Amino acid sequence: MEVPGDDPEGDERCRSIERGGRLVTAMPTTMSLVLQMPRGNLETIYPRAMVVAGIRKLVDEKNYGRAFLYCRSQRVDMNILYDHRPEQFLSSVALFLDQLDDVAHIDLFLSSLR
Amino acid sequence: MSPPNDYGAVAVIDGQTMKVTPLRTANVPPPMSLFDLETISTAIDVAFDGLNTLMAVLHRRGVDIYEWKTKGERSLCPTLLTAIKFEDHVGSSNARIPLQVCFTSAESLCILVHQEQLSIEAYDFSQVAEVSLADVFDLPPSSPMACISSACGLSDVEAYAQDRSGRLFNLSRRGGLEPLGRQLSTPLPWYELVDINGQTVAIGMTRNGHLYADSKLLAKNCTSFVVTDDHLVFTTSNHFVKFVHLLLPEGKVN
Repeated sequence: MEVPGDDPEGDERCRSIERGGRLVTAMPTTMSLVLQMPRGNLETIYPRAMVVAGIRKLVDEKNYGRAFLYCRSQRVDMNILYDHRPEQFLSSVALFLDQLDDVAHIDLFLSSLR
Repeated sequence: MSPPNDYGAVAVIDGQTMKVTPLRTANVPPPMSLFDLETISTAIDVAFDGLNTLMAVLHRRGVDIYEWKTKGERSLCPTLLTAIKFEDHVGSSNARIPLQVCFTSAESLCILVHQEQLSIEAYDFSQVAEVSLADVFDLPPSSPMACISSACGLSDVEAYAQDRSGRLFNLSRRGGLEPLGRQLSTPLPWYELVDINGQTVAIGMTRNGHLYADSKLLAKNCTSFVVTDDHLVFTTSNHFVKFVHLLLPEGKVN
C-alpha cells in the first residue's frame, strides 16, 4: 500500500488543493470528490486518478459509449479505450461503433489514435 | 460508498432538524440542504446502512428510521418507515443516555446506551409490524466501548465496534459483541473496516492526524479520509489530496 509522494506535477495520485480543504464524500459513479473549504463552501473536483479508474471500469463492462463521453469531457487520451483491453476492443469493434453512434464521435476517436 | 449505491448522502444534525443532501443528485452548499427532516427531540447520531437504503436518526426520545428512495439516478426525500420510542424516564435518578446507533442488517439496528454503565440494545424492525426490543447486551466496565459502526460490504461482519484500547469487535443482532481477534495499535476515533483481496483491513485516523492501515503508518499529516472501492483518498495538512490504491498493507500486489 504505497502512499504517493508530494509530487502533484509528476504523480497523478497526488493533487494540490486549496489550503485547509477536507473531504466530505467520494462518488466513484460520477468520478468526483467533494471537499469542504475552511470558509464552509463545498467544492467538487474530478481527480485524474478517479476519472481514469472510472473509465477503466466502464471499458471492463464494455460500456464504450459512456467511456468515450467521459474521455471527451474530462480530456483523457482516448487511446485508453483500446490500450486498457486490446483483445476485447478488437473483438467488439461492432459494439463500439454501435455505442458511439455518431460519425463525429467516431472521427474524433480515429483522429486521436496513435 | 460503492457504486451503484454511492449517492453521496450527507446528513448534518442541527438541533431537531436533520439536513440531508444527496450530493450526487444536487450539490446544495451548507447551510442549506436538499431535504430537511424534523425529529421530536434533539438528534444525537445518524447512521446509514451498508447499501444506503435506510437511514436511522437517534434522538433523545427514540430512533426514527427512514427509507432512502431513488428514482433512476436521482435521490428523493427519505420517507419515515417506522419509529422506536424509548420509555420516558422523566425525573428518574439514573439518566438513560443514548450515545450511538448503527445498522446490523436491513431489519435490525443497535444502540449504544449509557445508564449507570454501557450497554448495547438491539432492535428488530420490519415494515409492517412495530419495532421490538430484541435484546440487551450489557458491556463489562473493563472494556469501555468507544464507538459502534454499520458495516459496509463485509460478508462476515454485520456491524463492528471498537473499545477504548483499540480492540475490534463484531456486533451482531444475535450474538452481541464478539471479539474479532484484532487489536489496533492505537485507538482510532475515525475508522473503517474494508475488504482487500479477501482480507479485512482497518483503516483509520488518530486525533493528531496519523493515518493507519492496520498497524502500518501511512501518513502523519492527514486531515480527513474517505474509502472507496478502489482507493483510500485522504487530505493532508500541506494541501494535497492523495490516492492510495487498495492493496494489502504488506505490499503484496493484486
